[in-house]
Amino acid sequence: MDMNAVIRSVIASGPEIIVIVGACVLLMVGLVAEKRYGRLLVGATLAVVIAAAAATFALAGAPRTAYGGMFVIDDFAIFFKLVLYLATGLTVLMSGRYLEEEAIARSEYYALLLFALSGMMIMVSGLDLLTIYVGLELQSLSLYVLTGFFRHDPRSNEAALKYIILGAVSSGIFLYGLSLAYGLTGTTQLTDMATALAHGRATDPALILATIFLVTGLIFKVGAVPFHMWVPDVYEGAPTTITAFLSVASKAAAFAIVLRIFLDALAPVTEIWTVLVAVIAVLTIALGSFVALVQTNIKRMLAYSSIAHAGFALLGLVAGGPDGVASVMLYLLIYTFMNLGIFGTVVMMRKGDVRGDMIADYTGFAKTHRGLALLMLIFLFSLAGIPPTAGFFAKFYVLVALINQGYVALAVIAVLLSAVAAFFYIRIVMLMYMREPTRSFDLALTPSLRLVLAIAGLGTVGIGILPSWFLDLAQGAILTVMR
Amino acid sequence: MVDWIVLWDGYAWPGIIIVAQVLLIVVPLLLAVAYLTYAERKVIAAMQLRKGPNVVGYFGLMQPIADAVKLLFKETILPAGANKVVFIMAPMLVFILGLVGWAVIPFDEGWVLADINVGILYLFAISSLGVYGVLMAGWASNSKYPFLGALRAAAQMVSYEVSMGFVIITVLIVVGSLNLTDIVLAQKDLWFVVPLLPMFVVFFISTLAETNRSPFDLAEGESEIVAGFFLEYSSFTFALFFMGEYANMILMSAMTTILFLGGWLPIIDVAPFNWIPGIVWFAGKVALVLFCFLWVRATFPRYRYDQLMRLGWKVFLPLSLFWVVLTAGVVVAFDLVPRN
Amino acid sequence: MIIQALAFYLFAAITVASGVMVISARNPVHSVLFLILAFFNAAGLFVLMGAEFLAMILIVVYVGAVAVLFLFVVMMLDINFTELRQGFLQYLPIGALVGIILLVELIAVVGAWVVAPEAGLATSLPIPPPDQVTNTQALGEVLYTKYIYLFQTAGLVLLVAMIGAIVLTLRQREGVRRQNIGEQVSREATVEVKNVPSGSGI
Repeated sequence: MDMNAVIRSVIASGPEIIVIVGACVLLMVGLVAEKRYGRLLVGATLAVVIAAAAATFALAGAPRTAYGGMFVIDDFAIFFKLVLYLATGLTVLMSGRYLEEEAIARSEYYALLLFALSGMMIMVSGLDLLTIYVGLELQSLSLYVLTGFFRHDPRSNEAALKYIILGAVSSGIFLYGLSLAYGLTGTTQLTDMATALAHGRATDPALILATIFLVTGLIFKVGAVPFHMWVPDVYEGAPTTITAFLSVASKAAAFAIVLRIFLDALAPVTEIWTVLVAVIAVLTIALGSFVALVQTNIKRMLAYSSIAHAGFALLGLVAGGPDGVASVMLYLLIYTFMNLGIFGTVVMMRKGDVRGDMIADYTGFAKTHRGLALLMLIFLFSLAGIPPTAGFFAKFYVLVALINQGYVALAVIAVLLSAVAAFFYIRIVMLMYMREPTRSFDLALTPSLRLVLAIAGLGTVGIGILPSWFLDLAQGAILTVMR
Repeated sequence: MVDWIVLWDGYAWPGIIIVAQVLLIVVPLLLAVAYLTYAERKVIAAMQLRKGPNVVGYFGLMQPIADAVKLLFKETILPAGANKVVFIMAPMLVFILGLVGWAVIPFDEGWVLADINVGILYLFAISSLGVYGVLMAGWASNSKYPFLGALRAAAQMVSYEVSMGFVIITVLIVVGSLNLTDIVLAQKDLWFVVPLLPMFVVFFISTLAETNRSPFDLAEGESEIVAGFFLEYSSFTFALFFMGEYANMILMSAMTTILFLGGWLPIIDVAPFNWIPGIVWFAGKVALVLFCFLWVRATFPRYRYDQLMRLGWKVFLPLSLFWVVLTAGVVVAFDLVPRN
Repeated sequence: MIIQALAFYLFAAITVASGVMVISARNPVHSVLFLILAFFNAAGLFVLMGAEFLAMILIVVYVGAVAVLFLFVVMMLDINFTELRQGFLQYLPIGALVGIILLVELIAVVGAWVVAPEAGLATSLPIPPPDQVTNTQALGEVLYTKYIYLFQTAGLVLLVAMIGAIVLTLRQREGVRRQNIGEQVSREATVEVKNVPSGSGI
């Protein structure tokens, strides 16, 4: 590479560099300012995220590749990066008080959050299976540590251990698929791989094996059946803020690479994976919806809910085409708002000796806190997919894409299963509104948490009012190859 | 009959030559090991105003031979609870590792058994293997003190290897080759001890730690853990440990000489100095470094374990890392990047 | 060439044999020692392939550092392996079944293997002929130019792993007396210099 190419590459990866440097600076600042300046750390982390967002906006425009085609800045990457910044920013805002309540206020928390963010950014900008893999490892490793951040809580330890062992196995499987794909095509670059595959036989057994391994590795990361077992345990054991982050940011990044790999590199062999993914998606929605019915812990319930949502988003992938991709992207944006909102309400319950993560803890909540209960109602309705909230349109566009592609049966099954899913969300609403409170509510509401809830509420309602505007946004940002 | 000629010319004769070369290196080396023990006792005695060995032979010169004969004729005791195979293998490993490193050492220009491209890495790899002998000995003895000694030695050697690695990288940045002959020839104008003096100091102290020599001989620590990892060893197994340790010392001194003191090169390349053959210069420099080993032993008290770890991780590691960056920066800034 | 072939079979046989011993040795310390032997012979195979840099790095990193810590930990563990192995045979049929199915699948796949003709071209491009540059230089030339992005990111992965290990295990214990050399050596705190007027004492 000559000097100009180096400079162009460095500029193209500016946002990543900002986040990584920011994380390193935070690590050092944290050594000095650990105890007294919790707010300073929150502020600094936010500043890093905002700076990265500004840099990302500045780089918007025609797609450009860097580092010899390993890295790309296109509208697709920018869309996902914005979702990631949003998720990270809101998570950071939620964290300050929560960490103090849990007595785990340490600067490494924010640094690791930023490292996880940088890993996800590398994933969504990756145009090469190797880059994607390394980004994936970077984010996973940061999240393993964050999951086990309650060092003295056996549940957190168990969660981290399960996550790291299953994560390592799935990474290994993904890597194996990657090496097979490399052996078949002679490249790890996604576009070149698609070109190479277009010439080959689609029924080559090695290709089928490679595809299955890649699907397996990726399915684990999005938490779909049959590799969903880690999700409930990890979501329950991890600090609530990290659960929120995991459920939106990690999932968005995983879906970004799923879309890129399947619809770019593996597009010539669509027939191999479509049926597989369709079956997985249906099973995932079914399992998530039914098992969530019997949960008593709200974090576990939301874990199963997130499994079901992942299944729904996978249906968008099955539909494929520009509509399918746009519907998945919009789904993830909406899911970010509503899920962070609901997790914000879980975080606020944690105060003093109250863990506040049981569903029963919300009994009669509406009698004392009318406004907050209404907000929760909106989030829950949105998660259930009840109009006119954003969640309805998320599911609606996926179904439209499915029906346009002729998958009517799949659409019908999905609708039926989401009716099941609506039940457990509405059960919480019923608990809040129809029962008398059994205890007095002492909430850990800080201005920043209020801000999170406000943003999340605004997003959930706003997209519900103007769905077509956001759909256009997503459609404008679909993969270049799909245009 | 043609096959026999091929066999002779292609395999047997080169094989004989290699064996002869190996013997030519190993026999003087073993003699050097023997007389290093003698030198150690004499030097320390002189520093402590004693006489040292002076009974066996003139000036006690036959003392090492007498010691060897004594150890050879004693009974080798195998502890009942020991893991026999590992117990026997450990001293052999230490001794062999002390010898194999010499394969790549250039004694003079072209006087080297195997002139491989990655010579310095080979030496580094061999020196990093030394820890296994200690660990295996400590574990196989099935006894408290050897085990403690082995654990200490393992932690210590792994720690100091890191900074040693960085020192070697600094030299490599300046030389641009991993070949030991190239490294020596790059010092034709100026020995690296001058521009890289702090690294030389770090390297020398790290070699002390790497060979478990005083003041870092915590793995033996006779005042607290009796004799550490070779507590249960007797007779010739003990002698192998002993010889391995001293062979390692000489190897490390040779490494220091090659990296920093210009190997076989004379001090300045003018008439009276460059008449002396390179091997003499080389041996003299190695002897000088060895003298420093003994001098340190006679002078300093043993480090405490936390001090040892602090020195390795909190002083040497940052310092050597900083020097790597600094050296690389200077080399790039002044366009001194070696090209070959 | 005969010697190369002999060396290859020697190294390969020992690697495989010690690999088998790693999983079948009864004593975990023996397992680790066999693992080290396997690494060592793998390094030998690298040398035979002309990848001397990789061989030495394999020894320095894996044998010299990683396996030492492995051995370190395994030696300190007090595990009763006969107890652990008790349930082992119970799961053998299921494990064997899964293994056999996987094996059959893999054989089916490998039997119909077609390597893309362009695969060889793409991989052989960045590697210069071995007689022109040394192995070390060739590696450095692609690692720091073409793959710099991956190289840096892999470094970050290691950094995060390090931070994680420290975050999860470092605890500030009470009652540990640490040596502060600066404090010990500094004379300001402990020694007071007084100007004593002559003839009067302190």
